[in-house]
Amino acid sequence: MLEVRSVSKAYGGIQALNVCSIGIEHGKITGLIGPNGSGKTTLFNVITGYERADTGEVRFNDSAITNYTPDAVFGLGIGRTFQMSRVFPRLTVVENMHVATPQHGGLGFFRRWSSSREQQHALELLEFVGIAHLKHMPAENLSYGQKKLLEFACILIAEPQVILLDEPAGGINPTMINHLAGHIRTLNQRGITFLIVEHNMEFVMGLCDTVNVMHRGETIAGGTPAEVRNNPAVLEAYLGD
Amino acid sequence: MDLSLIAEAVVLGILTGAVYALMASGLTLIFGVMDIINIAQGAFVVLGAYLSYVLAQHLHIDLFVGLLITMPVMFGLGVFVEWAFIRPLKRDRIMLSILVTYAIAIIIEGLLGRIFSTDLVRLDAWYATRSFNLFGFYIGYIYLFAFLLSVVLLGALYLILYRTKFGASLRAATQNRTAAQLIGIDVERVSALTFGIGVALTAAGGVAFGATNSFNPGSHYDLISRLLVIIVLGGMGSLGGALIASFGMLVIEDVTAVVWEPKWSTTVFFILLVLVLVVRPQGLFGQLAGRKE
Amino acid sequence: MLATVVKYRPFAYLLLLIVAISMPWYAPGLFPGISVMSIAVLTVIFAGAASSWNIFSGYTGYIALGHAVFFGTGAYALAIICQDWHVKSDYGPMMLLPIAGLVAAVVAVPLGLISLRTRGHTFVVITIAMFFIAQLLAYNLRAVTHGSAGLELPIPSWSGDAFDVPFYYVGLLILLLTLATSWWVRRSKYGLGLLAIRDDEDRARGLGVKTGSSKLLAFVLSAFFVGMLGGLWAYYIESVFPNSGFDAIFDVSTALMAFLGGLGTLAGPILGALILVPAQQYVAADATLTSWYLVLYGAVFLAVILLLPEGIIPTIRKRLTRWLARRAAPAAIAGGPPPANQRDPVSAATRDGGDR
Repeated sequence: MLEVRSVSKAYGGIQALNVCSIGIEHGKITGLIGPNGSGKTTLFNVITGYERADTGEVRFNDSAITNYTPDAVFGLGIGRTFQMSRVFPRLTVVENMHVATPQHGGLGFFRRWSSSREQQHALELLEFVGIAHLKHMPAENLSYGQKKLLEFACILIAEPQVILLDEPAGGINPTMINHLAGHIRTLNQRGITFLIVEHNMEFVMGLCDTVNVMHRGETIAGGTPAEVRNNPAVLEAYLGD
Repeated sequence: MDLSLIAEAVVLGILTGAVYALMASGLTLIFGVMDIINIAQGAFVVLGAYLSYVLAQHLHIDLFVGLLITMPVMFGLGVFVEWAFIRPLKRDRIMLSILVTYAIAIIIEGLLGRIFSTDLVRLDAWYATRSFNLFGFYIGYIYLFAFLLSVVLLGALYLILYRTKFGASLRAATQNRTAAQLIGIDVERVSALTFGIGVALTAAGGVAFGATNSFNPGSHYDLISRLLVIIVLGGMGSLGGALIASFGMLVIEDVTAVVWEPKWSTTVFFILLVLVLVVRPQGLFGQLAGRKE
Repeated sequence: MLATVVKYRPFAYLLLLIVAISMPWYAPGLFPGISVMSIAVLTVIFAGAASSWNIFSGYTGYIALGHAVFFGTGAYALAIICQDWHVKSDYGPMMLLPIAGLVAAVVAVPLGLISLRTRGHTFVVITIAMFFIAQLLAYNLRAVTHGSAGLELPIPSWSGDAFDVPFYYVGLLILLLTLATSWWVRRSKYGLGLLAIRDDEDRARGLGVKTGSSKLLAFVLSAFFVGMLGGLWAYYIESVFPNSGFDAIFDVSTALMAFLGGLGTLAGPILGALILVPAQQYVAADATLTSWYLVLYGAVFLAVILLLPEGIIPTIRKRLTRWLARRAAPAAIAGGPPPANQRDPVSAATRDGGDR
């Protein structure tokens, strides 16, 4: 469904992505792991248009979307979260949700920002992630974990087909992590495809159907969690650094 | 088209460009380290000019010698201003720092108006009115001295930035404030000192400016607008950019006055900025805004 | 109790409106010896300017310090039209104000397209540069603007005590229009997009907000109203010069008014104008005060920025909310952080932050 073919990207003298290729199957939860600096976030940025690839292609449902702008990528149904969760700090939780609601043409000048149907949908999603009771709070007053949940909910309201999660489990407690894994499974059962970058091995191995491993800008291994866990190249990549 | 007139304009542009480079370098340095625009920079120049005026008129101290007094004084003033009015700003720094430094500028304007009245004055010295002959052009001595002063000070600035520990901290703080803090650089102290240096440089600029233009407390508006154009054109935070932009803009302005009409020379200044920014929003040597994370 | 306050808000606004509309009747009596109505005219003009500046800068966070371009453009546009079409009647120029606004809006399109490619400080400086270009053009394009000789506008036939009144009402009308637009934008999806741009433009774009056209529309809208106000002002003063129509102080004043009252709020700019315009007029009237005036102005400015960094209205709102929250401790109050002692099991897992 989503394919990255031989993408390279360099910054100054550093090769962040080195002829990197990866494929994400429709309807599956794919994991992406690798030591720090292996290029995982850069790959996300290239896929979602926040950075330009030097060479290579990104394909979505068989059409090329290389170097599309972030809003174009989002418009195709690919959503993403950020490592340092980004929310709109001065807007309330519910206002944050409504920014992401689908815009059907025009600038929305003549629409109130929350029609009753959208409001309903937003509240449902906030319930789903568990922060509905905070709906009128300015996002900047949320804790780190709550911000991550909000960011996640914002992506969901746009009803994407694919969701790219950048370290969703980072910095939150084990109970929360389990909730999150549960949410992801539920959504996956409803048909949403996931690509997850994570350092938390338990999380990744327990949740993902396929796992890819990156090292120094390229993929060095891929397969089921069991296969990857036993792959010597993977071990070396982590220990060698 | 009289080539010698154009050549003369170019030479003049380079000489006055050096003076603007001095004032602009302080401004761009402050921006680089503190991420704020010091709208009061023009007012500090005027203040420096008035200080030199007082020293010259009442104590008969030569303008350039007087810098030994005015520069440390202005340095101290700069450090104080940073500590008292800029450091407390936590949120919305762009907007607030502009308003704060604007407020400081008009306070200075008001005080100077109170003390000196709004009559135009000019710094006087034997070299302010005499010129010498260089390849057939007449160049005022003052321009030459101001140019030399600028070269000396900019050279000293370069040495500070690249040969001292403080300079290294300053450059680190410019590149990445957070990272600099993480490796133990006292960013607040660096900010205060940088602001002090930026303002101290205006004392020197004040001498050059005041000896080549008649001025009054209200002259800072025109001055700051030009300085802003220069640093944005050069790329905010880039010292090299400020230098190139200063020389470039002044030469273009003087040549336009000769080739076209003086009344259009200032307009060209601003139009050029707009044109450059259309093509390159970050200025010649600046960095693009926007975060990708 | 917050609910009670909110319920009576529309009545308060209605009352304010009645007070504003009936001003010409009671104000001169209340303040004998001062030309209250002329201060009132300038206040509504500046309040409108600050409000429309707020539609752009307050909502998007892009600080434009060159809006005097549009004020002056509107002023000159009206003057030139009145001259070329030989407009004489008293209300003629008033009816042409929308055209003045339109001219300013049209000018805003290329200016916006150029300047909105930049952000932050660069944007501020490019708007300042555009302002100076406009002022210089006004001086130099003598064929059109008569340079420093300026242009004159027709003189209305009403005079004496009641001179200011029509200007006041037209200004009030434009102010109300600006407010209505500002209010509408705030509750629309479009306005939410602007606020998102203010908070995190790249993310807003990534979530589908059409940032480019949104910013441009806000820019052009604010230019439209400011242009109309410039025309009205020029008609009131009966002339326009390059340094009066394009006045650097205008930019900073309107920014200060909006900021003082509260950037991004509806009532903020108006409150700011209500405070600053009479103050400015009072001091400007006395020439000997000018230098002290500057010092005082600057000092007050500084004090306000350092003590009330968010502006008057948001600060009041926050204090009020906190005070009300303390009086009604167990209930959850909108807008404030949850009290530390509140722990209910259902949301504990999420509220702890789910943090380590």
